Amino acid sequence: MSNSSWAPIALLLSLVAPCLGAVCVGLGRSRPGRWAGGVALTSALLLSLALALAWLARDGEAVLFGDGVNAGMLAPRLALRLDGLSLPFALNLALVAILSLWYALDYAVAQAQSFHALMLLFVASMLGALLADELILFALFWEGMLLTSSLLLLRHGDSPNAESVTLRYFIYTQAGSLALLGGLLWLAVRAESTSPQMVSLWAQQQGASLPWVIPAALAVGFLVKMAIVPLHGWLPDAHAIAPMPLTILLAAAMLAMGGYGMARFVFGMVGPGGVAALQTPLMVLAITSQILGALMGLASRDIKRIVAYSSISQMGYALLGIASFSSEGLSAGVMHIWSHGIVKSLLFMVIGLVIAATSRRQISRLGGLGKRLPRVMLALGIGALAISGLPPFITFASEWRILLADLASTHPALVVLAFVGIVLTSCYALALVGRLAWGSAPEDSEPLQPIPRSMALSTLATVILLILVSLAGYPLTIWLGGLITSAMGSGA
Amino acid sequence: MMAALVAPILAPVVLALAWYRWKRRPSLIRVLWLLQLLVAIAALSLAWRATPLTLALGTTHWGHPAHLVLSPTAGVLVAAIHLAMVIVFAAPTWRPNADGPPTPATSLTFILIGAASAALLVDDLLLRTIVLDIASLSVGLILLAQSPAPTPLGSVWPYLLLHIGDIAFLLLTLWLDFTTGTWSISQAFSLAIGLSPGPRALAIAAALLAAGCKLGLPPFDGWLRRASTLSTPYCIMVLCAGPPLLGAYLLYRLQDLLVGDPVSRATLLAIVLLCVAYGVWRALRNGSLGVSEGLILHSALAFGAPLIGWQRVYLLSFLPVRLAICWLIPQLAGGAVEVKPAARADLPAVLQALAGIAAHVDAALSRLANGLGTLSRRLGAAMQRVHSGKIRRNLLIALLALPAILLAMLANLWTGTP
Repeated sequence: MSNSSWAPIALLLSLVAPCLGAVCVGLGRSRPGRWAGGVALTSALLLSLALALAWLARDGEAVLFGDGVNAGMLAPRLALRLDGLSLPFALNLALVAILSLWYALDYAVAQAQSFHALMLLFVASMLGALLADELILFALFWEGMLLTSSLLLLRHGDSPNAESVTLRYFIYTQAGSLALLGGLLWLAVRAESTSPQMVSLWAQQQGASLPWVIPAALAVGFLVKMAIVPLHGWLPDAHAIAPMPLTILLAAAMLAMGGYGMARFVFGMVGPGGVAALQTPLMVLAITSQILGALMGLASRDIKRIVAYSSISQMGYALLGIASFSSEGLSAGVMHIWSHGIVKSLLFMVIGLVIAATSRRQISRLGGLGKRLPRVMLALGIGALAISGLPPFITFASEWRILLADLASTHPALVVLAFVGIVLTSCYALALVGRLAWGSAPEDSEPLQPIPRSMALSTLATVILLILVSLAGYPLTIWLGGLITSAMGSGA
Repeated sequence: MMAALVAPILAPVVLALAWYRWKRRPSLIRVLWLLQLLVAIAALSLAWRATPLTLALGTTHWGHPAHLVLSPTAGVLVAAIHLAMVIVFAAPTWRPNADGPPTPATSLTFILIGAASAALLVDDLLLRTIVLDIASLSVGLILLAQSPAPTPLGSVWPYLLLHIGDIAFLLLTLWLDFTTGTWSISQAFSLAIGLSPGPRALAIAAALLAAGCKLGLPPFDGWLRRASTLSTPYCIMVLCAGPPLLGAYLLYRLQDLLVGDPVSRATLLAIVLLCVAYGVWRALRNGSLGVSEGLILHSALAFGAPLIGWQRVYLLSFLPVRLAICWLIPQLAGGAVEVKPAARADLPAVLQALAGIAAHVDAALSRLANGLGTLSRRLGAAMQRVHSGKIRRNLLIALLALPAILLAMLANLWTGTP
């Protein structure tokens, strides 16, 4: 172990907590449904606590468990690393896990054991991929992420087509994972190491002689996860059929994993030659996602799909920041992923409340909720304004920093197109609020169902969290920027 | 002196809170009205100073020292909007029967005045973007509270139109920071004159779009026509002291940049002619000159004034002229405001067409994915025949394999052997 303090143990515990939680939930078959939810939520809280302790008790710039740097090609090891780049993503994951599992307390009472156990394993896989300081370990956790989420969709998907949707999701992401695995193996063999740090260093030393196809293969793997157009086909259906707590995890945490991969591997490995080859296509894909995602949100008639499509658009913003290949753009992109996690959690939670109260999802069959569910609509309004990038919400800070970084890139003219995306984002977000809150109530309106307590309370907590984070937006941006810059500097 | 710069922003906000919370305590409200009056008088008196009054706000988080600057023109405008607020809203409150329940629209109007004052005084591009957005949001909420739209999108459409102007101003902000390297409005606007034609054209286009949305020029006049249906006090404050004034002030600040370029001069002229033609056509179609047509014609003049050097005259006469339009035209038309809210059954046609295209693109990609899905399902079925299993079981087995590998790695960590 590299650190002398107990920080590495806390780091390992953060990974062990959800796994143990999953085992406990799995063993407690005879217990009532809420017990499983309680164990899952406690595990997520322990995970967050362990992560916080590990970071606070660190000796240097990063917390290390195991020695990933000296691992040879044939001796992969369990090596974990929490640094300035993985910390924001791990914090985002921990927050989203707590909120979604809290939301799930009253949501998934039937089949609670398998649902909560798989949710915890899904969280553990994502955290493992974030902390992995060894390429094979990273690939394993990456696969674990896909397997657990596929099983969740297959077993708990809310559609008779769950199997075909899951298959499509599996094929998309597995195809991306294969491209990713190919790129990682090529790098590991050439660099004669499976340490991300060593591989990054080797790749940067190659400069323009590094074949551009290698970072491009890695990028394809991560862009599938980010659901960037045209690799987004898995997202709308998967988000639509997933139970709401899983949708929250998928949208707010799993899409962020693609962003993490882009930042850690593609950004960290690409030299000047790679930038020249990759920047233009990545920026074009980002703008296309931003605009098409928003337009598809406008065209959609299912309220859950509208918010799902907005994820495609928002990941376009994040990619735009990362594709600037500057430290400012990277930190702004990561900041946007972070803020998107909170805002998207809120929006899906509110949509879940609307569905729970009305048992309806089609926008034509909803309306007049401004008077019937005023607090829920207020929360939806806050979420819609936040996703529109309105000041003083934190999304405003991340968006203008992304645009500023891209103006300094080689394609400033593309930034003008990004403003079209911003306008369209406001259109679908505010149109959704307008239709739900002030649209005429359908003639076949039925009495509203009571909203479960845990769903309402977790939504309220998310609103408060969003407001607090927005109030601390600029200092947070600076703090995260410093962390990421130091991590990328030390990482090389 | 320094308090005179902060007071125009804070005093309306304090009044907004007090109005909503303690409207039934007339003595407190009267004191606050008196404060507004004092703010107006102070701003007016300070406007005649030879040098602009400046207050440093400290360094912003984006690393630029921000200031509040009371220039002579801004001073007069701040005084004018505060005086207008006192005249329009304070007078009814002295009457004994005026203590009805507090309305959110009134408090929102006061917040709008605070945001408008901040936008006039602040010398930082990004801070101005933020206060412009707050002003737009206030207008959107006033419209929601006072004039509910018949359709869902109609409820948010006015705010959306104003928000397009805010986003255009954000583009201008980022572009000027990128090309001139400063967030200071005065410095950036003067440095923008020296830009090469391409970057200058982008700055001008963004500025004209921002000003056009704020001034309610077609095709962004939907919000102005909705605001014309508000009851008189709100209509006056929103349409005279709200976004249109800020749009006209932006054109005033950019007049050197606008008139120094032949293409932008031609653009300004074209905008004026088109808007006047549109206003006249609407008036002829309706058979009378409505408030919104009068205001659109007046707004169009904001683009024409720099061409003849009358920008300052136009700006200083902005409030009185618009007050007259808002008051006189309904009187001439028999006391009734004839403007109807824009009825929009669904998304605007352009958005609808774009959304349709996007849906087709998505459907095409989806068909492609379905094709791949069918192919892999067949492959999966063939594999299942070999394995005699099902997808769920196969996934579960694959999942169980992962901890085994992880345990092997953990063992490797402790033993040090592969």
